[in-house]
Amino acid sequence: MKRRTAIGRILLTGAIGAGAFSGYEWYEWNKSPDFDYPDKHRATLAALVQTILPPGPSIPGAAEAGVHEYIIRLVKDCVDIHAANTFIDGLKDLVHYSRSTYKKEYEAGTPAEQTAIMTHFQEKGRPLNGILGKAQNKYLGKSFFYLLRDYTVRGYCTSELGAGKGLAYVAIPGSFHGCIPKAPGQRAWATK
Amino acid sequence: MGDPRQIPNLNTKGVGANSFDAIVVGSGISGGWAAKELCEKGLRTLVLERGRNVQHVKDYTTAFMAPWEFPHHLENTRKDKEADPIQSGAYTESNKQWYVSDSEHPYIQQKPFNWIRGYQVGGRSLTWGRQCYRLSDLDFEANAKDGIAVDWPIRYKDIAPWYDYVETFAGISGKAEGLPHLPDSIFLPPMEMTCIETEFTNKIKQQYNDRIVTIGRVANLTQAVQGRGPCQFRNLCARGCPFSGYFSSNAATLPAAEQTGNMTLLPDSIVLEVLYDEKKHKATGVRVMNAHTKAITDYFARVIFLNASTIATAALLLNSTSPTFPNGLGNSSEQVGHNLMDHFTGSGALGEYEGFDDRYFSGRRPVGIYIPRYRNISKETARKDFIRGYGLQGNGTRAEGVERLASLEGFGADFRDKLVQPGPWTLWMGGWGETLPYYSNKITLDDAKKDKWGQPVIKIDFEYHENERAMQKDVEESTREMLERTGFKNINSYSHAQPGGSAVHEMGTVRMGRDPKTSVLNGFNQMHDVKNVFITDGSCMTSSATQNPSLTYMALTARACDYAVSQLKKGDL
Repeated sequence: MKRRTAIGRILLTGAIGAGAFSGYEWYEWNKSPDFDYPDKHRATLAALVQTILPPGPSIPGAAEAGVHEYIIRLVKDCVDIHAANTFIDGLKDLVHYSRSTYKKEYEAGTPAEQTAIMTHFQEKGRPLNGILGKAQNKYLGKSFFYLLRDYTVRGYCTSELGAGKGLAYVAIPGSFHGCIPKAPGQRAWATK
Repeated sequence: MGDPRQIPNLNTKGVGANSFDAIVVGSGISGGWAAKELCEKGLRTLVLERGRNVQHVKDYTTAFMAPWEFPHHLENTRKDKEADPIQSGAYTESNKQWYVSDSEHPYIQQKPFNWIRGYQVGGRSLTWGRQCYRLSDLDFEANAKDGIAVDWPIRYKDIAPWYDYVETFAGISGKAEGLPHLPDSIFLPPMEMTCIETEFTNKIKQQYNDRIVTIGRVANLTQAVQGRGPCQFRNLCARGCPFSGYFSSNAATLPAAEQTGNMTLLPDSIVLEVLYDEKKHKATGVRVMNAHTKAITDYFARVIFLNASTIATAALLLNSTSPTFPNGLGNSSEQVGHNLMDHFTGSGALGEYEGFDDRYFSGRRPVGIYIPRYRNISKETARKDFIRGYGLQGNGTRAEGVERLASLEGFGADFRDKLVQPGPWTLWMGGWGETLPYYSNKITLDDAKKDKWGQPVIKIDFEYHENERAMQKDVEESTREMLERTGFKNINSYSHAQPGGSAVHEMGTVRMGRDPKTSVLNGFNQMHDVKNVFITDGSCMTSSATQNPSLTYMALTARACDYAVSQLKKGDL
């Protein structure tokens, strides 16, 4: 929390030179990520993605769609090292926060507790308004909450259940119609 | 030279197993056309491809895979991005098999340049953007009028019948608009516009009298053509199409060549140099290295077509030295490798539109909309800050999935319910701009550095200049203005400096021209210096125009083949 705010101020005021924060930050961003951590916290991650996209009467949740499994692969294999570190460190923070604040694992929390924890991390990671927020995202990358939300949506829209039952997916459309009435309850297309 | 088939040969395959009537180097868009045309005209033709064979349909292994069947749902891995820093910018998990490995095929960027390559049978015809636009006399006369570079040795009337010819075979969908500076093709039915695109088209018509919006003209088949297609609107073209729904060498020209019985296709065959006979002043054949065994074989023919792609063809010429041509085959003009062009991209704008909430679309259309060039096309549209112009490509659709993340707050049930609804209608446009031919934009061979086949590594030295920068600025301003004047909200415009090569429209290293002193090829794509060598890939382009160039390569190839065969028959080659 403090780090993002502090660096936001640095970007704003230019109070210290780039070299001054590069040492520690550079280490934090480029250290070899603890890839085993998400692997060992599958249940937590499943509960987290389910909080972002919960199931409804006619719609599967992100955990049913296996999005947490996808995120583990995505972080391990695809996202840049800086984002992987932000994500894994954020997940660690969240696990500790849940334990210290509610004395239990995130996945064991009530829906209200889970929402409170997620809200806490959303607020903590919220980018500053306007141009500063853009600079923040550009130079620092997104915070844990926004990464988690991005990855969850990405995984959900491209998963079999998410694309097929959450959104609308047709493997072989066979035709294109550019302007047709939207059917009642029409879901968004999963792919374009 | 004498008929090589008369030379006795002990090869068990029979007399002159290494001799052909014609050799085509490369099997991409232009090489495929050369193969088809030469074979259909009765020439026994050897087609050499440096990459692996790709059999149509059978080798499109990812074509039917759903996003979730890929381990990373189409994202590239860090490992891929590290191994292929350039190509991974163009490929995804679904089609990286059609791109070279950067580490296996290094090149030197003297300035940043994205050289996107596909070494396989079919080349980049598997992954091309498929948009097809004719050039016009606005383009063919431009260099002469502006007094820059050299004049094109042809005019629209020379190539028009050949556009007709290749379009009839390839199949181009689009809408006739009757514009003199963007002549209509022979069209298959156009694809439909979305609600927002139609609205935008109508409003542009009300607001401006110098420009129109039309549906993209694209080599996707809205009707079956010669047993190919029609397009199934999956928008997965770049994986290879099992429905033959778009034009590729693999789907169209190579099967036609094969059907004649005249084609010998050799994959895994790297052409090292063109062999030159000092006495006869002709090329006699090519020296080929097997990509796997590295065994070297010479092949001979009466006529040779080079279609290795803009940069590779120039490199092949530079690597073909002889006492007559110490600086590269047919390079008495010293133009080979120079005047490299691409289309600049990186500027445009996007906006949202209120309305049509009760309307949607169905299917995945493999093309967007097009705004033909509207700068410097008349006295009224003349600009002081730049010459030439740009075309705009765009797309109007509803924001969906990850595209909505920036505008949706929070998480949970409300967030989910909004996310799975179609989002606001949005429209994006970006510029593809003409790049002038600069002698200083060039490729050369590195004397010291060799690739794994012992061939000199190519150096690319390319940058944009003031004319492109001024145009790029105008693209951003103009696209923003159009969205503002047609009632869009939340408009964002952008302008990024993209490295050369990003449009994957490399052109111009072996240019056509009237004068052998200042150009390499004549008006029939025939080398001024070596009459039995023809070059019809992007390297032949004298200027870049604004249009996506592949259709022009097709037409020039068919025309050059017709000319070459008529010259052969007359005994002039």
